[in-house]
Amino acid sequence: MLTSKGVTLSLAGVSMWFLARLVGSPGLEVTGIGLAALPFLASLTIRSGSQRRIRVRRRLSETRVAPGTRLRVGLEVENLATTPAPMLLLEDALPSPLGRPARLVVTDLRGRGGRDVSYSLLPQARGVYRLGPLTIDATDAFGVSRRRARMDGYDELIVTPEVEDLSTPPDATTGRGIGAARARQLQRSGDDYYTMRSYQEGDDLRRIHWPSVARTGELMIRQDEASRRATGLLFLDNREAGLGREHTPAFERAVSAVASVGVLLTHAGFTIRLATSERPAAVYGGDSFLDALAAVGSTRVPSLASSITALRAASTADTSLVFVGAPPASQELPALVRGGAGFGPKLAILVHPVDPASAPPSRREQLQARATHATLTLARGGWDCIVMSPTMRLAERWHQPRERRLEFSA
Amino acid sequence: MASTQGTSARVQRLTSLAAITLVAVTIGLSFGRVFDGRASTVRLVGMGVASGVIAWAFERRGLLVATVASAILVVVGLGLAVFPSSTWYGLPTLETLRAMGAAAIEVGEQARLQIAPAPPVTPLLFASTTAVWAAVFSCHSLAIRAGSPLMSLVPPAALVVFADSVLEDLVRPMYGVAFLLAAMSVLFADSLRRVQGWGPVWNGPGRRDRLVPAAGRGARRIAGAAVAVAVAAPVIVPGFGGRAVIDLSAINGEGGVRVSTLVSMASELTRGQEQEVFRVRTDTESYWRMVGLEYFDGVRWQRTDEPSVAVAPGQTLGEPPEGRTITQTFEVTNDLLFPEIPTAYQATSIDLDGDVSWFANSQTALINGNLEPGDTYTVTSVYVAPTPEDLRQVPFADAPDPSLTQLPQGVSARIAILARSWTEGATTMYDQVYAIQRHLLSDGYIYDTDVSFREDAATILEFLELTKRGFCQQFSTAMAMLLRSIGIPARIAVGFTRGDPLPGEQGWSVTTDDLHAWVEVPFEGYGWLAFEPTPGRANPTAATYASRSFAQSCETSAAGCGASSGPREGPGGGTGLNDPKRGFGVEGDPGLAPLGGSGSFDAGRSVTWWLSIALVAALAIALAVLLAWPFVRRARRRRAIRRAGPAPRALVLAIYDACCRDARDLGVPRAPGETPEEYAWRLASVIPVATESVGRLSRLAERAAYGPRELSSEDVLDAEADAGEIVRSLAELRTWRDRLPRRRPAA
Repeated sequence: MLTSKGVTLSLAGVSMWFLARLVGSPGLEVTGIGLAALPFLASLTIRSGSQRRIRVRRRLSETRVAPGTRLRVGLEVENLATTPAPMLLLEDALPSPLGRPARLVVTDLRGRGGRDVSYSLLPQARGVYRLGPLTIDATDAFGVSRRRARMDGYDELIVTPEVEDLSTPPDATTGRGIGAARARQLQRSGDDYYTMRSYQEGDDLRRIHWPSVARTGELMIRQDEASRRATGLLFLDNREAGLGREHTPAFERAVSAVASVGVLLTHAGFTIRLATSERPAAVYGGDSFLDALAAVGSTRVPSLASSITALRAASTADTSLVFVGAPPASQELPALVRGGAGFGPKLAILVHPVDPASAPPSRREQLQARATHATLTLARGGWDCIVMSPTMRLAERWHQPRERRLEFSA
Repeated sequence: MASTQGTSARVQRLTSLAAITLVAVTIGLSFGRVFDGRASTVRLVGMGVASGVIAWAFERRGLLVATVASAILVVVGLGLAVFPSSTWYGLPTLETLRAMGAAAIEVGEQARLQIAPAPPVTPLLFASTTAVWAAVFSCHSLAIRAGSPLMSLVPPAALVVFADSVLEDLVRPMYGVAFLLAAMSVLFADSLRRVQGWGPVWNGPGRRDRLVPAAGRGARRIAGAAVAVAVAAPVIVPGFGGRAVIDLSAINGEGGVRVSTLVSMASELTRGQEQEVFRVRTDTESYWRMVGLEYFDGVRWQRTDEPSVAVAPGQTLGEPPEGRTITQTFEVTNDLLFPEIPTAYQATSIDLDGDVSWFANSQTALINGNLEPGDTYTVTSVYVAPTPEDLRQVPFADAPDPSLTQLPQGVSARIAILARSWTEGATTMYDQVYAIQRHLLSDGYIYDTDVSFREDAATILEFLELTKRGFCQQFSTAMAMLLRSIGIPARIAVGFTRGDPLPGEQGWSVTTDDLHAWVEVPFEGYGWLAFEPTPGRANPTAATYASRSFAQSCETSAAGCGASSGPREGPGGGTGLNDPKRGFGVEGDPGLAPLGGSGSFDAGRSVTWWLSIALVAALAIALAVLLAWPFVRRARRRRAIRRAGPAPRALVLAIYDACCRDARDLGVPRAPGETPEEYAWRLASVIPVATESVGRLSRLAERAAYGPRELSSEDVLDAEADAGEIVRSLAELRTWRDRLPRRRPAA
């Protein structure tokens, strides 16, 4: 079919011919007739269906990447026809966070021939993306006619959240001990922490805890890390009312914090459970944890109450609890403190919904007051708290002493 | 293994240069047809190509800079191509500019006088080269800068149409095919640019820059088919090449005969149907003289300024010479759109009911107004018939006016050498004049209307020494120049030959084909005497001294002198090598030339107002392009923003792109590879008052390009406001001087 340029050219040719007839200019008549015919002749060179005789396969160099990692998307273009293909304009649709659609031109594709072409992507934002569909435009050398085909094959690309290395302080000269201490505190289990359970046949008699036997009147066994793995429960308060919508700086910073702490615990041998405001805790292993975080979005759940209820039901003393979200409202804090009481070490990473430094003074005071209140309340309940703005990196805050953090948050 | 980036920017630019060059060559060839000879076509092609190359060379600079450069260089080009003698080592001088001014003034008159294909007289060549230059420059600007290949074809098409309309030769469709090829090359270059803009080009294995050959193969096939259709058009299109539905050349609508006696001697005889001008009843045949032209500027003969005397009907025109008195009664049979009154030479009285002025030196009578069909007047003349012996007694004398022996600058000395060699042994003035006339009549010179004639002395010399073919204009001009080169005063007389005898009565019917020019030389005591250098012609009034054989026959003729005045110049003649078809100086405008305004006169159409319109149109188009350019650019950017779609992200990016382009035009281009933040820093350093807007727009653009979150409609409004603020601030800050010398790479 003719492009808009082709239609215009044809009409211009007809107009030229008509004008030439009016004024008696055979030379211009010839030109007008030639120009009027050109688009139709060009469309003949792009035979109907020629674009459908093109097969394209998409192949990603990686299907799971971290933000800022360049990947290559290869397209295998194959001409199934025996005749050379016309000029092909390929357009691979991309989700808007990945940028504009990728456009390529393939020329000189012979019959039964193929061509490997590619383009690169540099995803910056966490998410699960679908690449496609691919549009193929077969066009002529003058751009006056075009035939279009669409290939509906999709490929999935997972961009995981940013994971910060919390084991190494950014500034090697300071904070090494502080960060390590916080990690040990969070990972306290096994030799450092134990719990009791009833004796079961086959248990080592040397692990009977006699004071408990005396207190309870039944055989109690001391259980430590040597006998079971510790669990880390990561709770992301993904309410839109708190951190805002997904892909906002605060939300993404919170997701990154969950990912960073989760990876830290995973490396320590913890079993990771992930819960959000609308989803109960579920166990994730390996890459699935980051995949789940890549897909997490905001929710419009109004309150934390039901989530905390579910949290309490899952609480055990050998489970470390990590709460990541915006500083909770004052009426939510008591419930959160109660909900975390049954857990072992508890860490709250509170992310301001907006950067206080860029907010108006009144808003800044409000943010800081809320964070301070939350920090003090949680600290009284035995929580370790980190308060950070969306523009900060967790690794920086992780290795700062508590006093400075409190100073800052106050 | 495929490779990317099929065509470099250099190859792309060269492709556009080739397309523009092809357009320039086509225009030059097509438009050059309105002139005689190939030299002017070569000049037009050269100027067109030069214009295209200059436009191309300044392609990456601002339009204003390119236009100024083109305007300067067109003066240089015109100096070289049209006014070479006025330049100083090829550079235009004040004299060049003065010559251009004079040529510009004369364009209208020359356009009215000349018949296409016309000799390349300076004013017309000046106008044509300027038109071609402007058309090529406009074509380039519209095709490459504005990205409108179709619009770019309008200025060249106008010139092709013009050439087609004033000419009727059989090869015109081929020029149309050539123009079609040029048009397709422009379209191809534009398409190449768009394909390159689509994305990276993946070629097959082999060398780089394969987009052009790969796309070119397809283009050749399609273009070949289009040309085949176009060539077959005369067969497949009903009524192809028929007469114009609207005959623009007839819009003037005046019927009648327009004969310019101030004619350029380069005018050819007009081809076409014979048209009666007047009837003259007398018993003695004669040439019917209208005017004597004494001043030759190298381009045309003109009457010199002299005081006139108002004469009453029948009043004696000065002291009559001695000789036989004859009376003629003229009956005008057509509208005579010229003021000269035909008379037999030498007129002594004119009995005409009208306001008549008499110019004694040039022996010319003018009427205030025009003679119309049915007008009659009576003229009394005196035949002065000296014998050769009488004239040999006349000594050499100083010319009554020094200008009568002057020749234009640049006339080759070889003309004088030739004149001296021809007059070697002739001791009297008469013998020298007669010797020159005899050489022209007998020395291998042939009457031929299918020749071209140019005004420069080199061409006259070429006629005298090499071609030896021509008609009355060439012969009379050559003789007058030869005479003047050896100090003998001479002038050109323009009028009509005898005409055809009227059936059943003593008289002659004179038509446009009887137009003629001859030479007059002053002899003391006899006045200006006519000589006839054109082969096949014999002036009855010069029979006793200019033609011995005629004089002998005259003595025995019962009818007296003038039994035969020789063949005509026009179609009624035919003793020349080729049948002369063209009337002298009759404009072929169907609305002007045919008797009775029948419109059947199908000679080459007059360029008259056509050329003026074409020139004005070309200049208007060029001016319109200049004036419309900022609006076109703004409209294109608005369209780009509109086409970005409703998504705020795309809109913000489009607004940012448009802002970058505006900033580039205002002298602060974004460098290749410069990040938005780096560019923002640089912009902010230029316009500190708009730092906030710059920073905000830059951040919005970055968020739109790379940020994960979708933008809002408020962001779009912010971006628009910031972009406007940035452009306004830049426009206030940047002066024209700042803008001119900057190089502006594409953003």
